[in-house]
Amino acid sequence: MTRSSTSSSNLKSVFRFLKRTLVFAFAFVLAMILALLLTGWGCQSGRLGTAYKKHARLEALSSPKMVLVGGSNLHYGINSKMLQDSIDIPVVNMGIQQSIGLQYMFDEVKESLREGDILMVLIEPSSYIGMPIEGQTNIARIASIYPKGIRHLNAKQWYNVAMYSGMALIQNFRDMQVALSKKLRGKPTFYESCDEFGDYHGHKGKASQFKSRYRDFTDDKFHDNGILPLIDHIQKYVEQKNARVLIGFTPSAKSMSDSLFFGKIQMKLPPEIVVGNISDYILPDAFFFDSPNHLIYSKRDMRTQMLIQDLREYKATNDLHLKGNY
Amino acid sequence: MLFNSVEYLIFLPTVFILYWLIQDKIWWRNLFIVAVSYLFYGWWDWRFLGLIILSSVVDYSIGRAMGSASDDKARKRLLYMSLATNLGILGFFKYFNFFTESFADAMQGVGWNIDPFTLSIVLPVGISFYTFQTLSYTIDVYRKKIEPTQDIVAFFAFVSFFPQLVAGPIERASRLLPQFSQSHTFDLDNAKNGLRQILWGLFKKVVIADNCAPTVNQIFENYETQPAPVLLLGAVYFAFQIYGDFSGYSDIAIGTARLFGFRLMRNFAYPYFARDMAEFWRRWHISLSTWFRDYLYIPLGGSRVSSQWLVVRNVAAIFIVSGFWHGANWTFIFWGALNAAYFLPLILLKRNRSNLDIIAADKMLPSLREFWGILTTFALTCLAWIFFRAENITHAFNYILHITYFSMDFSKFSIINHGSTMSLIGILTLIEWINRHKEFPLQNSTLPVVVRWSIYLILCLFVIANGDNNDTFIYFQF
Repeated sequence: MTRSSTSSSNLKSVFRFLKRTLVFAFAFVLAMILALLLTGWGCQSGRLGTAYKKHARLEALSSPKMVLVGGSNLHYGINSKMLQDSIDIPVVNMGIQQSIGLQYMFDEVKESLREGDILMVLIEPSSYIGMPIEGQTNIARIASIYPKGIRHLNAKQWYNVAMYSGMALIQNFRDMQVALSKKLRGKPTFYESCDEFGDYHGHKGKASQFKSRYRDFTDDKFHDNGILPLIDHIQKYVEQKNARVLIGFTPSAKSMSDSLFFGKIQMKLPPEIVVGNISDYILPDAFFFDSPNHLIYSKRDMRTQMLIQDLREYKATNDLHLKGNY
Repeated sequence: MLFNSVEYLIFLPTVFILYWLIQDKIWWRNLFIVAVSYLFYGWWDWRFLGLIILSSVVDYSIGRAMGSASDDKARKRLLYMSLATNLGILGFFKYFNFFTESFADAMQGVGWNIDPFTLSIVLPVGISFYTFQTLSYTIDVYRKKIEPTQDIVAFFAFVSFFPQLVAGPIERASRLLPQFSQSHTFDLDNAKNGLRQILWGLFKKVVIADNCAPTVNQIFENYETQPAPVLLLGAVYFAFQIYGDFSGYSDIAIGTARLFGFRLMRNFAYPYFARDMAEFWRRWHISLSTWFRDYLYIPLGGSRVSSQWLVVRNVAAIFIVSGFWHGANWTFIFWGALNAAYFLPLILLKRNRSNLDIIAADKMLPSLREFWGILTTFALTCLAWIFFRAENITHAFNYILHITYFSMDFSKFSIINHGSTMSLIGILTLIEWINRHKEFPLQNSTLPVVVRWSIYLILCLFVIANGDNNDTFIYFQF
């Protein structure tokens, strides 16, 4: 056999090997998608499964309406009915978990915004200082649990879905275990504990389990995660639709907050859309359920009243068409 | 660049395709290996590439000079020059602060207070591994076991070969260097085995080691408040963490080398199935154990010396030096000494070679005697691992002391919290036991293709599901 024929058969073997490896890689990707979708289906009674309930309300509401977007601080800590009764326009609470990322939170509601609507953004402080706007594990999880939402994903989000898919799979399994154990014990699931507004009631009557941890508040923690350009984009998009966007603040446990640092966050936001003062939302640790932004059930109304008050003050100095007598 | 990173996932296939496209041009292929190996290493810190280049230049030149040296004295001088350069660099980067601090401590013991002069030195990744590899070359050339190479590119490729550059296996020049002079043809079966070995290595690292790591850290950091069963569990978890981490790395390295047609030496052979400590050391970090055997133990006389005391000295020497090789800390030295203490009775009673065969070779299960041997060997190993893992000697002894309190407070121990890690360790042990006659469990499987692919898919799912940590490998620090 000549040298060149050896080389060409060598290359053929290499490409045969590469072909097989690619077939395997393809099979693996398929298996991964299947596993994510199957476990995602099994998680529809979990916290992320409440997306179905929230979207059902969002689509059913007529304008003008108020759409609350944010992380789990909303899921656990607001009384949407109280807010609705006060401002006299329908409210939907879309908040689920902050690591879904603000990009998705906005994209999933933007098509439903109409003239006169108010988009109320209430994201956790960490969303401003490093949490990727394209999301982390929960962007992969929401894609598996609520596949309808994947049409909103951009390239960066798809990349994160791929990167966090393994973690999402584990988390899905854990949520399935939790759901199963709740069912076996006859306790309501996350989905069942979520009302038609999108508010969670599963922690009703439960005491605080919050354990404080050290949190570093130095200026170098201000990572540029692209949130300010995104807020600018949201503002322009919403105003184009003759709707309004407002940014409020979320309750934060005192031991894990720093008013000076939080003040710097507020300073970076466009003042014309900011409602309230971030420092006012630094509250005693005893008000929190299991994390520095999840209020215990009994403090939901207090936080809602604070928001109503902030809206009232904002209305006094800004042109905001809300009917309610607040 | 870490084997368990996205960068490597792009690096490996790219290098693989380009390498095989350079057909039959050995020199160019070697040059390509040097370039990509430097890229691989420089990804971590390009400044330390200088040390690898220096080591390569010195040993290549010394090798050639030895080849043309006329008398043995000149050859010996050249060998000392190589030893001084390589061990000097290693000593400075790895042991400088340890020696100055230990000297200051010793002086304090005799009443002199000295402020130790320490430097802020970054330990170059893999320095102990490539230093020993290049040393094997000059020693073997000195002993006339191999001819000095004239091909500088092949030699540079031998020193920097990326699969085993940072954590071994520590190859001998006599074995690996000739492979850089051969024209490699692509062997499909070998490449398939390479991928299987990489997958198995990733499973051990990402799924086993990285799952054990957080619990081990938590238990070792808070040992004072933990009951005896949890402390024992911490030692067992660390045994599997270090095994998964290091043998996982070795499997990925050997598997990667297979993809390029190279054969690296086996580094682990199911060490936790060893029936005595001598067998354990024939199965654990084989490339280092045999290095010390060939370049330290045998030159000292090994076990064929005139008195028992010399045997004791030789055994103690290799284990203590081996411990010190791992790091500049008394814990590693104590770990080495403890292993020497385990090993000595066997060699003095001439029972160190009583378990050379595969355990329970033709049977499903080991005999009671074999099982007892495995259990006691594993227990002794775990005890030694406590010293290896501890921050300092006091920490290790206190940890052991707390085990002896026999506190049976199980309130901090939840089987549910440990269930998944224990199951994974169980799966690993079962798979390795079933396949203990193979070099690695997935090698040349005869199972139907559907079953095989299903196993690979499940393993991949496990890896990807646990792969978000990007934890570095423990042995990088050595």
